[in-house]
Amino acid sequence: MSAPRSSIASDTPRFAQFKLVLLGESAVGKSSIVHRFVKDQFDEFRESTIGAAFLTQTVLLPNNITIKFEIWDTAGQERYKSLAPMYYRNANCAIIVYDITQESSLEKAKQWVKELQRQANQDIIIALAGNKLDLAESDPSTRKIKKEDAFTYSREENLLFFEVSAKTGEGVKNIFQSIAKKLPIDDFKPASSNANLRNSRHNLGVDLSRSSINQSSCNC
Amino acid sequence: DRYGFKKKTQFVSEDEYNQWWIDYEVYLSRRKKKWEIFMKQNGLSSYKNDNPIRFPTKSNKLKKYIRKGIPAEWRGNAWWFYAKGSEKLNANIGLYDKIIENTLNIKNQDTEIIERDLNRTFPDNLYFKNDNFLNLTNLSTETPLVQALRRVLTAFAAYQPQIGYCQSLNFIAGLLLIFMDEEKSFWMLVIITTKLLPGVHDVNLEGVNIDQGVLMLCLKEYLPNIWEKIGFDFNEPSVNKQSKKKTAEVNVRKLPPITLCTASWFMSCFIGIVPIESTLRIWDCFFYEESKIFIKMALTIFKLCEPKILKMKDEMEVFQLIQNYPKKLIDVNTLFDTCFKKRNGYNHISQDEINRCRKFVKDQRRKTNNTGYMSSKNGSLIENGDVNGNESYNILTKNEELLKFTPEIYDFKKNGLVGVHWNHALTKKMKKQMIKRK
Repeated sequence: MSAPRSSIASDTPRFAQFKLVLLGESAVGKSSIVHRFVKDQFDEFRESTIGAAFLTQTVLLPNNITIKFEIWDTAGQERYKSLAPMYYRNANCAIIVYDITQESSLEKAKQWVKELQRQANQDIIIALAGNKLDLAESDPSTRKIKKEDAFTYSREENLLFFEVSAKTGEGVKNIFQSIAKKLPIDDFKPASSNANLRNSRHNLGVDLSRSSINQSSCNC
Repeated sequence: DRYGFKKKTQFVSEDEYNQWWIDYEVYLSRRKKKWEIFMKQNGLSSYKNDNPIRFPTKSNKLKKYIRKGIPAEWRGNAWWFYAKGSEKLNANIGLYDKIIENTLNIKNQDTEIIERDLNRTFPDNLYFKNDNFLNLTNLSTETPLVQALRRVLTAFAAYQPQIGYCQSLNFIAGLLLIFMDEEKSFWMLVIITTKLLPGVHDVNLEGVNIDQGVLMLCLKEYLPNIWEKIGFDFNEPSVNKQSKKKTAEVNVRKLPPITLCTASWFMSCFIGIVPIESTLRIWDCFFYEESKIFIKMALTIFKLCEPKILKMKDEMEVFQLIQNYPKKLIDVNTLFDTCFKKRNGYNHISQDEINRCRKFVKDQRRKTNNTGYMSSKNGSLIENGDVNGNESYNILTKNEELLKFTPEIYDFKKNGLVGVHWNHALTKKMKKQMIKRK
């Protein structure tokens, strides 16, 4: 990246990375959503996540902006909850997932929203995602959570809202694209040193080659 | 493969698998013959249906044999024998059936999560695979092993309420069920979670945090270069007066982020962490030598990654490497050779040492918890620090009590100096003298 910092024009190639965390009740499809986003694949049965998994994926925005997501995919079971702050602290964005065919999962999602609003970064961008849309589409009677209800709640709490299907891929990319668009890319100053990079995990102007290195090392 | 798993994974191609298997198959039949001779020498017959139930008693030769792998057909029986499963079973005859009866139609939080995990336990394995997924509610499409898994996990949750059901137990019980019957799998699960890995699966996961503290202490002691890389930013450095070199002490209440990855190694007993044959070989040692094999194996994985880690600048790169690298370790013999190499520095760690270290970490963590930290608004949430260390530092400074806490230093027993608690300065002097004498 040779363009001088002072002349950042709208089409100057820019790169930023952000920390994203996935939260939600067990078996709502957190890992499947990430897997669809990162690999564009889906398995009917995924192994339950133990602890957490870390993945990265880049998104291209208009105006030559590249955004790299550092994604923490967490385990859903209650007892892993005590680890959650390690993931969401300093996170720039979060996707809270529920299962539209499981009534209790929205309640759990609401608890996560509350916790994030209390404990996480003040400017964290939160998206609420209702997964398993494919089930409700093939058999409407399986739907337990009305779209309007979740949408109304999202508006009250100022969250991004989506209904998606990790199975068909419907809406999945859109979550990440929409989050990417909301991220305050212009606020970030270029990283001046390694120490800087380590302390704030969202930097503008980091060497572009980094993204390719990390992508190739991410095999999950 | 022969256990019903797919040869190909996301990390190992079928070609790689087949390539490895050509030599390994030969190795296996050679080991089997050696085991047969060894059994005979001990007056034990293995010929009745190739299903021995008694195995040689502890000896150096046996240890060597186990580290080279127990024949797959005997594994279930050998694990059961060395973990002393029958002692448990004989003391509780009929109990498992009784629990099954009592929990037959029970529904609670645990069973709800168990239900969700049944189809997420080895979904690619022949014995667990649910092909007819359109018919999810129809129980008849479940394989017998999935039904057994439900009973074992439900019974266990009822029998061990301080653990209940913990995700990862599904994999442990699942793997046990491939090698032994339901009742035995149940008691093995009890032995693993209470005797071999105490507290690791408890509701508060304290045991797993303790074991991560132990692992970090071992890293600092035996692979200090890696520790400098992953631990330095997260723990207060202390200056060694003699060398004037700054080193980060292990603060067991503020574990570095890499432990988020390694914690799952302990919880799942390396299932899904390394390729299945490697997992099984680790389990062979686990039931004979206990949990020190997990520490040694973890150190080995770090050691194999050391050249790459030392070149890395970003801690998240290290995290990804440590997360993904072990999944590619198809060559189990090389892995084990590295693990038990005489001069790798950590080969001699004994189970007593691990237990002593566990107690040390436990006491240290308890001490810090008593400062009122745990009862603070954020509760146990902060105790491990966070990825960047910034915010937890702010919270720490608010708590004056905590500032008074300085991590104590754990001293590993050195070879030849067993039973004496040496401080670091002294051991260094001793080392120098030893070198001079040589």
